[in-house]
Amino acid sequence: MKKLVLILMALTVPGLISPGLLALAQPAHTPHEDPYLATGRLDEAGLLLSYSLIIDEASRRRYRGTQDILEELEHASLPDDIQYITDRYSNLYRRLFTTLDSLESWLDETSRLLTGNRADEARVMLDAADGDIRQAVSLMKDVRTATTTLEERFSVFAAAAPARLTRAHRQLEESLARLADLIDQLSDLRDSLTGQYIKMSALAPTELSLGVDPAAAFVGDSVTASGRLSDGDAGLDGRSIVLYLAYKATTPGNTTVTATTNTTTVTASDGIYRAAVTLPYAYTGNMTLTARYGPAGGDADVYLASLSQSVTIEARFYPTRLRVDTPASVYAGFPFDVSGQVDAADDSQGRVTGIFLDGSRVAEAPAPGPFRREITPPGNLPPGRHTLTVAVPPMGRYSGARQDRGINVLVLPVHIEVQTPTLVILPGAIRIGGRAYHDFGPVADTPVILTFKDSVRTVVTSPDGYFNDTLKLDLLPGGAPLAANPFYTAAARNPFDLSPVGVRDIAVTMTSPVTAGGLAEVKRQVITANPLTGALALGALAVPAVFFYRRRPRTVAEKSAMTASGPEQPVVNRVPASRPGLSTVSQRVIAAYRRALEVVERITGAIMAPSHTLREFLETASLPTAITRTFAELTAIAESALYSASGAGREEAARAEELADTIREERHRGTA
Amino acid sequence: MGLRRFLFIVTAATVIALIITAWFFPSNDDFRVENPFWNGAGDLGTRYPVRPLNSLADLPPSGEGATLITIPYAGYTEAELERIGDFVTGGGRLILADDYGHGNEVLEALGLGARFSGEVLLDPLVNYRNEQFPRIIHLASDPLTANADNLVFNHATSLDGVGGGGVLARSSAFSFLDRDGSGTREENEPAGPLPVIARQAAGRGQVVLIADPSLFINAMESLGGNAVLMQNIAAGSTALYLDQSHLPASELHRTKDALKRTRDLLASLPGTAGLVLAALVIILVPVWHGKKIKSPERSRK
Repeated sequence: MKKLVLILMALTVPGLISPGLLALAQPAHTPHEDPYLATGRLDEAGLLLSYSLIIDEASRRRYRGTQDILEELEHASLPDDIQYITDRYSNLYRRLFTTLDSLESWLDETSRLLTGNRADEARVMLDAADGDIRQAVSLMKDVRTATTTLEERFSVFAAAAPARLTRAHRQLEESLARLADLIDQLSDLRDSLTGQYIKMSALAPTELSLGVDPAAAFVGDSVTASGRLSDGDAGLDGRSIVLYLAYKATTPGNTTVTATTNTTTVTASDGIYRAAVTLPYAYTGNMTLTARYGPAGGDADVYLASLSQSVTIEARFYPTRLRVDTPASVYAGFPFDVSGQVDAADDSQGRVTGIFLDGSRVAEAPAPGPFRREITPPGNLPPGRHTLTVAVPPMGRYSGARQDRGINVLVLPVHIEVQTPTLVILPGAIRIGGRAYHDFGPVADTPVILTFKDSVRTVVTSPDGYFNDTLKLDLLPGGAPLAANPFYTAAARNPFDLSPVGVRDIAVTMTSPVTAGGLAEVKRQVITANPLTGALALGALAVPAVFFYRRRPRTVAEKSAMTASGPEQPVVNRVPASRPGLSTVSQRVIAAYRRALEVVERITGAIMAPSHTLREFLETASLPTAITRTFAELTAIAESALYSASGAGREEAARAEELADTIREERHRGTA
Repeated sequence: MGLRRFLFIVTAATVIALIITAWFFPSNDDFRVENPFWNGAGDLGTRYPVRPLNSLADLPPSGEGATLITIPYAGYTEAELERIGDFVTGGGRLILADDYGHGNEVLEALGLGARFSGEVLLDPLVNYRNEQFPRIIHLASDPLTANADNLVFNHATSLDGVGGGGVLARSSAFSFLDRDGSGTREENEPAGPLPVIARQAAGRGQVVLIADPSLFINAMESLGGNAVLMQNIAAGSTALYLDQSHLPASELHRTKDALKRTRDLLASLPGTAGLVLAALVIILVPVWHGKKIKSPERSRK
């Protein structure tokens, strides 16, 4: 029956547990799968359709969009051999679309130039367009060849090719046809523009001169630009002239770009023109002025456009000089000095020097003149290289100035003093106190993490750097919050930690702004005592001890003590060694019985209880057959010696001693 | 040993074995921080100061600077929606990560026009391993996506009605919504780029919609820039809460909860005292009992 129950249990328990194990393999409800078990597969049709999509975008002349999609395709998850082919295939498209984009730009620009009668410039553009058309036609041929290679690699032309793959191939071929049409259209446009250019070349050319007075001026001042527009001999009056002033400008991000301003004037008699051009506040040196004439109205059918030579203007300004002194290394959260000098003429007063740390304004000072400011970098500034910028803005003829300095932000070592008790009894609370400080003073308002066994607490230091808190300690090992996340309870690190007494570490950790993310940690050791596990251990020890004690045979001394303890009882604890009123012969019988009893107790393991009579012990003890009768006879003689009125005779005493000797011999012989 | 005694011992041993198994066997519930397996959020719990919430009632009323991540796989009560509304309008940030769950309930309650499309987003080319793992490569310049090159989603969906300005991430041009479940793009199926992460203002706070909660599971954390996204979420928060009350709970999870409550009870002072007493009684009774068995009266019987 027991075997049946065991078998049923062996079947039932795994049955109960196994559903939980199955849940490990796959969640029942949630739509996601283990990415590391997911199988990768190449969607050949999808890849061909993607190229079809890209080509269609190009056919709609959205070249920027096609480049973006081709860039996306670089992220495609493809096998290495296919990736190699598609990389080159994509590169062909990229070059083709770049060429088409450039070709369209040339053609658009040619069209714009021809509209302004700028035949010479249009000629240059048309030449560039010619080159692009030749390149586009060549690339288109390469694309077709590469398409065939890719399709063969995907077995598009095989009889067993999937229908979806065949459809994708057809769609790609249609897209390529549309792209070829686009190239043809652009080629036709180029021919048309060339025709316009040839027609325009028959118009009368014009000449435009330009001079500047003075050739140098301060920023914000004006210079006079003058010149003459003619058709070779006669001046052309009443025509609009546009003056373009090009110069270098500095952006707020401290990069230099080319900027342009326009001034428009009209020619007077004999084609002479004159205009004031104001120099912008750009403190980068020379500027370039150019004049342009574009025929308008009736002139468009008579004259070609003209462009003057470029004239350089020296743009003057008063420089501002800046000297900055900063320490090479600073501590996050601790002040340091930035000093320096802004040198400029006194009439540039009113400016403000800005001091920036990693682009954020941290202080300012009046300029020009000397300055000194105390800067306190944020406490959480990461250690490493940072940029301190001092900048003076420009004002009128005075240029601005700027200096970028690299400074090292260092980690300041933090010291932690900790007070803990020496002994902790579980469950209970352990009080942990201490102080955090660094070389410049206390570490205030900073979280300190106290960790003891699996218990974690976070406490914030007071303004003078002290901290104090109590950790609650459970009796049983269990889950505890993590140091990295006090709100998350993780499983016990050591669920079998049931030691009654042990030496443990208390860790005090600080991730302080002062340490800039660095970790300061101190460990102290305490002795723990766990009464529950102590009691369990004692109990576990007590059970075998008691068991062993009860099984152990009594020593002679114990037996004597037991005998001596009950002299008044007729039958007392074990057999009395002597008793008042017993004859010497009876005492010999009792002594013989005691010797035999000792042997029997050793053989059987049965101990004569205090309440046992001699006869009861004889019945209780499971005697070996060899000595059963012998011991029974000896028991009868002993009872007779103890309880009969006449006591035992000499023969009985001799017989008792003989029987006791027999029992001892039987034991030694091993038959009992 | 009698049969009754034998059955009692076997039953007790079985119950103890089951309790030990339930206690030590890690949770395997999706998105839970207690789950260290591929589908859990154990890494989230160990790496960031996430406070798991077993009830939205534990959410602080003012959400100023705080972030709540909710994965709406179970419906919300009116009170819970009100609680979330108060949290967001009070200045909190709600990360609503959903694909086919109850996310639209929350959006509707917050009065937002954005919705989770609830349709399967596939990307046959720009993906991790296969089309079910779209790789998100169009990331807007935003503190939430800073330093992330790309994200990898897992059986995701897309967002509708999010407008242009608030979109933080879009799928590739090759992605599409597989409406008919064919696995391939048909003419009438919307094609990418499709919005998958967006930010919406609500009161003083904001709602960030993520069209795939699987971003937060352990197996997905190391793929693409998923870890960076999580870092950015944590970095911009004074407190980070994870709502675990709207996740499906397994029997194992419920059993673990019950055992944990029992353990907490035993770890209290009265519970511990009772446990010590019981332990001593259990150990000493057989000793006492054994002594009586050896007595002659019992022997004679």
